[in-house]
Amino acid sequence: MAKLESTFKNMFLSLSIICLAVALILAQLNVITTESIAEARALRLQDAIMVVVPEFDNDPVAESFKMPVGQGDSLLMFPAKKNGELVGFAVHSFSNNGFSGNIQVLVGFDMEGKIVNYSVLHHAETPGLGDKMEEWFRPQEQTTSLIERIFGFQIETEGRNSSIIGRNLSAGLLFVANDGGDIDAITASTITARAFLEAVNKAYAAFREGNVDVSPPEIVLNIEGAIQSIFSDFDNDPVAEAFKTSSDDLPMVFPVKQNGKPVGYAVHSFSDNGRNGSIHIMVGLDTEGNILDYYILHHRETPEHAEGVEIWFKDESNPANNIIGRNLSQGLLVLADEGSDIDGITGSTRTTRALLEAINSAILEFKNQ
Amino acid sequence: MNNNVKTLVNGIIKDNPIFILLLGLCPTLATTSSAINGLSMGLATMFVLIMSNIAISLLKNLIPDKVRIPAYIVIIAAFVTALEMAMNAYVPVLADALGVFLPLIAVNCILLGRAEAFAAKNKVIPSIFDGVGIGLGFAGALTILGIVRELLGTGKIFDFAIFPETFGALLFVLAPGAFIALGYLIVIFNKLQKK
Amino acid sequence: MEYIGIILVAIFVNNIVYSQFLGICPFLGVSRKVDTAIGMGAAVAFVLAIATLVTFFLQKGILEPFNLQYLQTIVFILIIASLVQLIEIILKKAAPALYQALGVFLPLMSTNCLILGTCILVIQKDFSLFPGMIYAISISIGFMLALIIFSGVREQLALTRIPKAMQGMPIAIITAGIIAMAFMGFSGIDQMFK
Repeated sequence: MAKLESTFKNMFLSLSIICLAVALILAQLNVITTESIAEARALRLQDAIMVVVPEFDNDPVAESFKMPVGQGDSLLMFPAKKNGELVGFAVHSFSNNGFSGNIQVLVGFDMEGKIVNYSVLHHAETPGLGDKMEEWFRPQEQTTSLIERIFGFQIETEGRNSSIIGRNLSAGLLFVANDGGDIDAITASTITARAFLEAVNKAYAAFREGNVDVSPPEIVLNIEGAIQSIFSDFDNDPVAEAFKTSSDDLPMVFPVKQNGKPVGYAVHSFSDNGRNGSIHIMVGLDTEGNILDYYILHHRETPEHAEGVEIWFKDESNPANNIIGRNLSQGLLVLADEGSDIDGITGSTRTTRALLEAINSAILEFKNQ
Repeated sequence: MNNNVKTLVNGIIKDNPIFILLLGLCPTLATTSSAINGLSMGLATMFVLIMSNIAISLLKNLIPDKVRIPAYIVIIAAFVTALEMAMNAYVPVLADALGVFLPLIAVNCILLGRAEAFAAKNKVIPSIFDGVGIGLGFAGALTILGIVRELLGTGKIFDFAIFPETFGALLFVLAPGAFIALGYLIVIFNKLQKK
Repeated sequence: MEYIGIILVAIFVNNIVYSQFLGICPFLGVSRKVDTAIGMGAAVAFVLAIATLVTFFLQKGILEPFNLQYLQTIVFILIIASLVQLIEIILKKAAPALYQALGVFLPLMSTNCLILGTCILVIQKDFSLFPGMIYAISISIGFMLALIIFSGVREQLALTRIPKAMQGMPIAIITAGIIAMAFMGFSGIDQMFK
């Protein structure tokens, strides 16, 4: 069959019929796939919710509601319940400040406000770079490459502080290190990391607004364990005989006695000036107020700042920072840069300073009685 | 049959769209930051190429000469749109990864070029072979580039770690690495061809 | 103020050629001499501005209200192709000098991933009309810049000795990669204006 002539009628007809046919076919395809697209999206959402919140038996999607978070945005919140009681919320948050625009994240909180898990729902970030966010903000997994397996060695992957799992934003919103926070950004993808954290912070804002009962998490302190680790021989009940001299909740003094006679005092004190919040400490003093030992009850410092700090001030091999046996006769215990001879840990000045502050207030409390 | 196989092999080696003809470089550079992305883009384009070659070859006598370019464009774009819809429905993560380059398959010079050069002048079966050949050439080139970039950049191939990531040169996953890797691959391909 | 951010990002930080990989075909084909580079850049700017305007209105006025977004690819391509034809015809009649200058570059615009890509990106990035136009014009400035730098380098390359296997395209592409590396240095300059 010869080719159609290029007469106007033929050209018009040919093009029109092709366009019409295409339009009809595509319209039909659109109808078919729109359903599938919506279904796929819903399934992804359902799967994501199951990943990010604790076990539940209700239908979070059916009970979802919108929570305004300021700037005209409002986020979708999915309540997770077990046996009728709330166990957590999944918040569908977003940021438009990704490298390639919109990032959508589902963040799961438990009722204390801790992040249980997250799931990246949508992004257009650079593959191999920004798209690492899907795993980056979880605890690092050690992978062994083929070469390492063949030759039998393993490169230590540099520890990084990037996990947001278990973090409670009531202690502070999350920011990348460049912005003054403590989260390590994705290598070569700071913009993506920043946008991701922005979305997480927004999710937390929604969670706080929507969750009337959110109070600062109860800090569970192992008071008795602390006393027992400092004092081995006593026969009274220090907790029952606890007293304090100020009107604040802390410091609290727990007298330790043997045969009715005091052998020492365990003082529970704290400092709010740790890098990431409060540090609680139990200081063991003898009857004269000299330091016997101490036990850190609670802190929120990051591992690299807290490492070593737990034993720093009782390190016998290092007299420069060993404070065991000291008291306040020469003034408050401070770091070398404030005039004394006590060294802090390089890079963890804030943490060590806060520790000393707590110890000082413990001794002062003892002296007050 | 022999002729058809020749056509196919031609598309992979002698007329390789990327390494020889240097057509369709935009998606090549943009979607090869990892092996899987390169492969997906290559296969997606191959699909459209084969389908549009078939359609145009079937309809070649019903399209007057003066309107052939717009007609080919509409047909190619139609298949691209259909592919877009299908990918968004069934493999949305892949569709997101290919991003704006999925619709841009429609203006990939290879498709229009093959329609003009082959499908419009040949019967359906040879056109299919041409589509498969060129498509494989394209997909092969993209996958190879993707493997090179992913391996040199992160030490992995298809997300399987070959050597530790710390020894990778991140540059290859980024924009400049695409240019450099492609440039050198063309050199290697040329040298191998001449032998 | 935010416009400065858009402009800087479109020209430098996310340069359309060295970072977004659009417009590579004309980029490699038309960049042997600096004056052809300028001509191409100007043609792109002209067509892109009009194309963005038209496709924007099409999207917001017809495709979205009637839920026909799936036709975006086809409609945009056809519009752009027709637009280029139209521009050619109008220029030939109304400004023959300009037509002569842009002459051979115009047809290259119809199946140019740069034009189509930018039109789609404007919609994807959810710009309103004015920022969208600023974005599109900045993209073409970025393209022209990329071309001019590149053609300057290529003019120099033509005077040096290059291994046979690398002559022509390969060395050009590798050079483009090095320039792309340089452009990476612009990362973050728009943050000053946030």
